Amino acid sequence: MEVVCTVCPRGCNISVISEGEGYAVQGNGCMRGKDYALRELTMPMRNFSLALSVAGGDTDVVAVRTSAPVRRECIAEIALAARALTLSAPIKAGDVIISKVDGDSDLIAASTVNLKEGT
Amino acid sequence: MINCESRSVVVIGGGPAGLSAAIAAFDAGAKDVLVLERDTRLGGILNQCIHNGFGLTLFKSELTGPEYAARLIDMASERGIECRLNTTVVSVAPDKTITCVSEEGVFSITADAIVLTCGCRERPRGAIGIAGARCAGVYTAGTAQKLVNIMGYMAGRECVILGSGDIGLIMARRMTLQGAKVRAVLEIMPRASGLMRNVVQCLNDYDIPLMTSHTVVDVLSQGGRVSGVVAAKVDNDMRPIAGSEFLLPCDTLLLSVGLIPETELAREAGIGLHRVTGGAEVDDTLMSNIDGIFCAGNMLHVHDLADYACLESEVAGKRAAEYAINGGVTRGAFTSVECGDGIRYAVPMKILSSGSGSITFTARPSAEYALGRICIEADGEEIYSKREAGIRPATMLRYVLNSAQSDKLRSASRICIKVRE
Repeated sequence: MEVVCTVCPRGCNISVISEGEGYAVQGNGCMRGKDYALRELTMPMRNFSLALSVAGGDTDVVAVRTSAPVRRECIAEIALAARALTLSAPIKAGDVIISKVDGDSDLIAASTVNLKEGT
Repeated sequence: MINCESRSVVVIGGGPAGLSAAIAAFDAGAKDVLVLERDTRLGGILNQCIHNGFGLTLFKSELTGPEYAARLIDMASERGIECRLNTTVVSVAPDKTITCVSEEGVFSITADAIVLTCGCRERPRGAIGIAGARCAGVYTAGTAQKLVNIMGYMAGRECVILGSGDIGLIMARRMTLQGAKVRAVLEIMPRASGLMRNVVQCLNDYDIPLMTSHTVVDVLSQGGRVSGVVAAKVDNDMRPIAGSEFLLPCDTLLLSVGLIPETELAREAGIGLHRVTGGAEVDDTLMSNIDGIFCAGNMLHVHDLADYACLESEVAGKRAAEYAINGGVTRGAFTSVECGDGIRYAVPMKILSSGSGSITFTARPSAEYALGRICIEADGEEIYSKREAGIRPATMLRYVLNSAQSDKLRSASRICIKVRE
C-alpha cells in the first residue's frame, strides 16, 4: 500500500508491504515516516486547528488546535462541539478550551485574545 | 516632513521574514534596528494561517501560524528591537531615504542599510480572466482565510476552489472544519500545484475531490451572489474542451491561482526585478542592484515554507548589519547563475567574486523527476551534488554550500545549477 507522508513538507511516498507477520516499509526518508506509514494503515492520527468566535476581546477570533494528534475519525465531531462553544475574552495561548478531546489530547488556544480596551 | 531620523538598519515589513531579518541584524551587531509594519500587529500573514505544521526546521516543533509569529515577536522584543506599527512606507529612494505615513503624519528615515521584506500578494480574478457574473462570493483564498480566521465571518456555505496552491488546499480543509461544504478543487494543470502533504491532509482526509486539468469557464449568479460555476475539462494547451462543461452549484468561489512578490517599493527604488520570479534580483549577499538595499522572503521569490523564508531573511539581516557597520561594501565582479535542465529559477542570481562565507541556494524545479541529482557546477566542474527523490515544481529545493564550495563558485566564470536524471 502507498502512503504519502505528512510528517514534514518533504512528503515522502512510502510503500508498506505485508511481510510474514509484520510489514516492510520502503521510501521513508526518516524513522518518523515509518511510524507514520504504519499508523496510517491502522489508526490515522491528525492535528487540526479551528477559528472560534470570541466575545469581548481585542480580536473577534481565537485560533485553537489539538495539543497532540487525535484519531482522524474524531475530527468532525470535535470540530462540531468546538464550534458550538460560546467563548469570551481573555484567552491566553495555551489555555485549554476543551480537555481530553481524544485520548490525552486537549483542544488548546493557539493565539491570545485580550480584553477589549475600555471594558 | 515632521522630522528626519537616521538608523543603521531599517526592515520594511514585520512578517516572519522581516522579524527574522531584524533579529539577525541585531545579533550581527546593528544596535538601532527598526522594523516598519503597516498592519496593527506584527507577524504578517502568519496571523491568519492558523493551521499547524509551521516551524519543523526552525523551532523543531509543529506550530500554528500565530504561535510561530509569537515566537519571532518574543525574540525581537527580548532584544529590544523597535517595531513601529500602523506605519506604511510610501517610498524608498536609492539613497536609502524612507518616506512613511502613520497617524503622526508623513516622516522620513535615512538608513545605512535597508532590508525589504514586503511579502507577496495573491493573483486576483482579473489576472486570470474568468468569464461570468461580477457578483459577491468570489474571493481569493487568502481573503477568505482572513475573513474566517481573523474576522470571524464564514466566507460561504458551499464552495468551489479554483487552483490547488497550498492556500487553496488549506482553505478547502478550513472551510470544511468551520462547517461549510467544499464541492471540489479544480486545477488547470495535470497535477496539484501545492505540496503533496496538503493534498493528503486537506483534501483526501475530507473526501474533497481534486479535479486536475479542469477550470472554471463561467460564474453564475442569483440575487447578486454566486449561485454556481461552470467547470470544464482542459486540453494539453490548457484550453477548455467544448462539450465537457458541467455545473457545480455553490455560493462561493475561492481563487488560489498564484502569488506574486510585492515589489512596488522595490521598483520605485530602482531595484532590478527577475523575469521569472517577479521579485528582486540579488547577489549571494541578497543585496539588490542598489547598494545597501537587501531583499528577502516572499518579496524576493515565493516560498512554500515560512521556515525557509526566515532562514533566507537571516542572511539578508546579517549582511545588512555588516554593510551598515562597515560603512558599505565594494562589490566587484560577479558571475550570473545559469539555470540548466529542470531548474526554473535559482536564488541568488549572481555570485560576487569578492565575497566570503557560505552560500545558500534555493531553486524551483521546472519539471517532475521521480529521482534526480541536483548539481551545481563551476566552470563545468561539479562542486555540489545531491540526490533527490520526488522532485516537483511545488517543492522548493534548498542547499547550503560550505565555505570551500562557495569559494570555488566565487572564482568561477561560469556557474550552472541543473537536474541530472
